[in-house]
Amino acid sequence: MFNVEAFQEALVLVFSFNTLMWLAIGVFIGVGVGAMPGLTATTGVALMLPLTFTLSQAAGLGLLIGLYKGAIYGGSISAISFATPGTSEAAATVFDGHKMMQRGQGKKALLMALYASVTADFLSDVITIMVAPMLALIALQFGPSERFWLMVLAVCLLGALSGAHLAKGMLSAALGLYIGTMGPDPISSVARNTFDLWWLADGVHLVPLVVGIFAMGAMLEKAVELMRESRRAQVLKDSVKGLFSVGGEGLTFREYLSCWKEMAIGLGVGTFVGMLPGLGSTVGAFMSYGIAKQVSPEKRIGTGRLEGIAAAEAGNNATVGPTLVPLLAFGIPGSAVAALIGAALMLQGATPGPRMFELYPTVVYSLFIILLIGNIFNLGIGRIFAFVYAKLGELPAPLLVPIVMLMAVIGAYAYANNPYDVLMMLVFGLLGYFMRMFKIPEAPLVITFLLAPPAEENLRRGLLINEGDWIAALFHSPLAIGLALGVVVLTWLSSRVRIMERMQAVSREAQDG
Amino acid sequence: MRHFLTLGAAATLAVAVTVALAPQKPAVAAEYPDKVVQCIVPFGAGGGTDRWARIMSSVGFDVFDKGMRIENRGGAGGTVGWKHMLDKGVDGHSILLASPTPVIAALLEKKPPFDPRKVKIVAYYSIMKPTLVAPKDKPYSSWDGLVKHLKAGGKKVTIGGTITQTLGPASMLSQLGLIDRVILVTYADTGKAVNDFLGGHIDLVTVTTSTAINLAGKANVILNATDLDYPKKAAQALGDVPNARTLGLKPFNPPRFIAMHPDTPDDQVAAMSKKLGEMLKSKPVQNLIGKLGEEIIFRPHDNAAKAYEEVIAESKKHLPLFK
Repeated sequence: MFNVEAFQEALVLVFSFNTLMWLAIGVFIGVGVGAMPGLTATTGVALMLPLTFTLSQAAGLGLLIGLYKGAIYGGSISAISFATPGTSEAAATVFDGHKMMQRGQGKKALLMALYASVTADFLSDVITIMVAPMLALIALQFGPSERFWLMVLAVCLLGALSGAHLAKGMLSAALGLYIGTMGPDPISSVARNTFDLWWLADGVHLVPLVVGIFAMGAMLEKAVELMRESRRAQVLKDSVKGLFSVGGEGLTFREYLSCWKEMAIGLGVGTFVGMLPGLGSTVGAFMSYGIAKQVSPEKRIGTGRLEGIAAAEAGNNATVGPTLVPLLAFGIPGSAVAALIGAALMLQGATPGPRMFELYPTVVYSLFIILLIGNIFNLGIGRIFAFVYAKLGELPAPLLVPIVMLMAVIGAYAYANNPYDVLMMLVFGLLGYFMRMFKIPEAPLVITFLLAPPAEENLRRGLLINEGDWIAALFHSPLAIGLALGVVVLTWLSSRVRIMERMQAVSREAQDG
Repeated sequence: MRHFLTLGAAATLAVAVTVALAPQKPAVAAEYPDKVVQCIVPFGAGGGTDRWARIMSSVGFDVFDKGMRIENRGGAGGTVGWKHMLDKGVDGHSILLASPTPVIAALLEKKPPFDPRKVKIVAYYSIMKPTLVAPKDKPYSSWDGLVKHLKAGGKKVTIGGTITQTLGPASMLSQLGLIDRVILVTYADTGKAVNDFLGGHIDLVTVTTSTAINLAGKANVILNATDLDYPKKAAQALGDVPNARTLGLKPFNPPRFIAMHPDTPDDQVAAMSKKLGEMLKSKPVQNLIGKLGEEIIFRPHDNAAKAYEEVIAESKKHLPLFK
C-alpha cells in the first residue's frame, strides 16, 4: 500500500542540502575507490560505515549507496585506460575497452562505460522498486542444484570467449579451474592444493589474479618491447602516448542507442544475478558479456567494440539495486555490501525485513529515491572523474609503464593488506605475459576461476543434502531440469556455430587459394 | 666551596641511587598502553566482527590515549589474521578481535598454522547464541517435535548454517544420540543458508539472534543452543525458546573474544582487559551494539580464559561430526 505522507516526507529528507551533499561525496569517493586497483566497493562502504553514526538516516544512506554505485562504475576507468581493472567487476570491460583505448578511442569507450552503467543501474533500480518482493520469491527457487546448473550454463555461455584456438582456450580454462581449487574446501573449509604454504590457505584472490593477468602482464609485455629495441623507443613512446590518450571523438547518441541490445542483456542478467545471494557483480558482468557475444557474433565483440563495454558495464551495475532485494524482502543480506547497508539501517533504528514497508515507510522511500538519484550523481561525477583520472594515460610510455606497475603492486596489497597478494599478482603478471606471448586467451582462465568454485560448492552441497544421490542432486526440481536442458541446447548450438564458422573459413581459404 | 660541591654531588648521587633502587611502579599502571592500539580483525571489512571493531573504535580515544586503529587481515577462516598477530611478536599494543571461526578453522586443519590454545585471552566481549529455526507446519516445527520425529525414525532432516553456528545444535543432538538422523550442511555464510531454508532446499537452519528475529514471523524458532537467556527485547520477539540449560543438555557457548600474543605479560593483559571493559561500558557503544541486535557480554581475562579452554575442548569433541 503506497503511503503518500511517508513518500512526501522522504522527498523532503532526500532533497535536503545535507543528503545531496553526502550523496555527492559518496559517489566521488566511490569512483575514486573503484578506479584504484585493489580497493573494492565493500572496503569503501565498510570504511565509511562509522561516519554514518553521526549522520541523519537519509544522509547516511546517501553516502553509502552513492559510494557503492560510484565504486562499481569506477572500476571501468582504469580497466579501459590501463587494462588494470580497478575492481574485479570491471575485468570483463578490459577486453573491448582497452582495445578501443589503444586505437585512440578512449573517450568513446569511457563514455560508453559510464552511460551503460548508469542506464542499467537506473532501470534495475526501477525494477527493484516495482517488484522487489516478487524477485525475492524467484530467487528463493534457486537452491544448490539450480545454482549449479546456472554456473554450468554461464560457463557454456562464456565458451565463446575461448578465442580462435579451442585447445589454447581449454588450456587457459584448465589453469583457471586448478587455481580456483586452491584454498579452503567449499564444504569442509579445510585448505587444499596449497603446496603446504600457509599463505595459500585462503586460496588465490580474484583482485591480485585479474590485476596480475591483465595489468602486470600487459605492462611486462610493453616493458620488454621498450627494452628490446631502444632504436624504436621514440616511435613507441609516441605510439603508446597515443594508445593511452583519452582524446578523440566522444560518443554520439546514435552509437549509444546502437548498443541497446547489449544494455538490455546486461540489465536482465545483472538484475537476475544481483538478487541471487553470493554471485555478485563480477559474475553479472562476465555472464552478460558472454551472452552478448553469443547473441550477436556478427558484432565481433572482443575486438574493441562499444557493444562489449556496454554489456559488461550494464551487467555489473545492474546488480547494485537487486543486491538489496533479499535484505528488503526478508532482512537477509545477499552480499557484503548489502550487509553493511543493512547494518547502517539498523544503526539508524530501522531493522531491514519484511515489515520494513509497514514500520519504516519513510526510510524505504528514502532508500528508493536515493537509489534513483544516485545515478544522476554518478553520471555527472563519473564523467569528470573519468577524464581527470585517465589523463594519467597521456604520460610517455617509459613513465607510464612503471606507474601502472606501481599501481598494480599497491592495488594488490591494498586489497587485503597482505604482502603475499603482491607476490601472487607478480606471479600472475608473469603468467599473463607468457599467455600473451603464446597467444593464449586470458578470459577462459578468469571465467573458470570465477565460476568453477561456486559450481563445485553447490554440486557438493546438493550431494550432501541428497545423501550422495547424483540424480536427486542434479535434477532436484523442474527448474533444475530446465536449466540442464538449457546447457545441452546451448552446447549443441555453440558447437554448430563453431563448425559452421570453421567451414566458412575453410571455403574462404579455398576460394582465395 | 669545595666541601659544598662534594656535599652536593653526594646528595645528587644519593637521590639517584634512591630513585634507581626504589621499587618500580608497574609501567602498565601509569601509561599503558602508550601507543595506538592496533586492533586486528581476522576477517574482511564489512563482516559481523568488523562491525563490532568499528563501533568499539568510535570511542577509542575516550579509553586509550592514542586511540584504536583497525587492521583487517581476512582469509582462510580468520587464520591469516591470527597468524599475523603471532608474527608481529609481543608488542603489547596489538589485539585480535576474534570469533570461534579461526579456532574452528585451525582445529579442522591437519597441519594448523598455529595452536589456538597458545594465546592470551584478554576478554570475552560477547557470546553468540546459535539459534535453530524450523519451518511452520512440519513434524519438526518444535524442539520436542524434532526429537520425536528423529526418535521415531522419520526422514532424515538437513540442518544448514555455518560450522560455528551449527556446532551447538549438532552437539545437543549428539548428546541425545540422534545425530545419525541428521545431515549437517555447512555454508560459508548465514545469508546463503537462510536463502536455502526459505526456498525449502534444507529443512532447518541455525542463525544468529538478530536473524532469528527477522525470521520469527515466517518460521518457528525452536532452540537456543547456549545456556544463556536472550536479552529482553529478543526474548519478547522470539517467545519461549528452550535452551541447553532448560533442556538439561551441555551447552556450546561460542564466544566473541579478544586475544593477545601468548607471550604478553599478564599485567598488560589485565590492564588491556580493564580498558576494553570500560570501552564496552560506554553509552555510545552499548547503544550502537544494541541497535545492531547484538548483545555485549563482557567477561574479564581470567574468567574468559577458563571458558575459552572449555570451548576448545567442546569444539574438538564435536568437529568430527562435520567431516
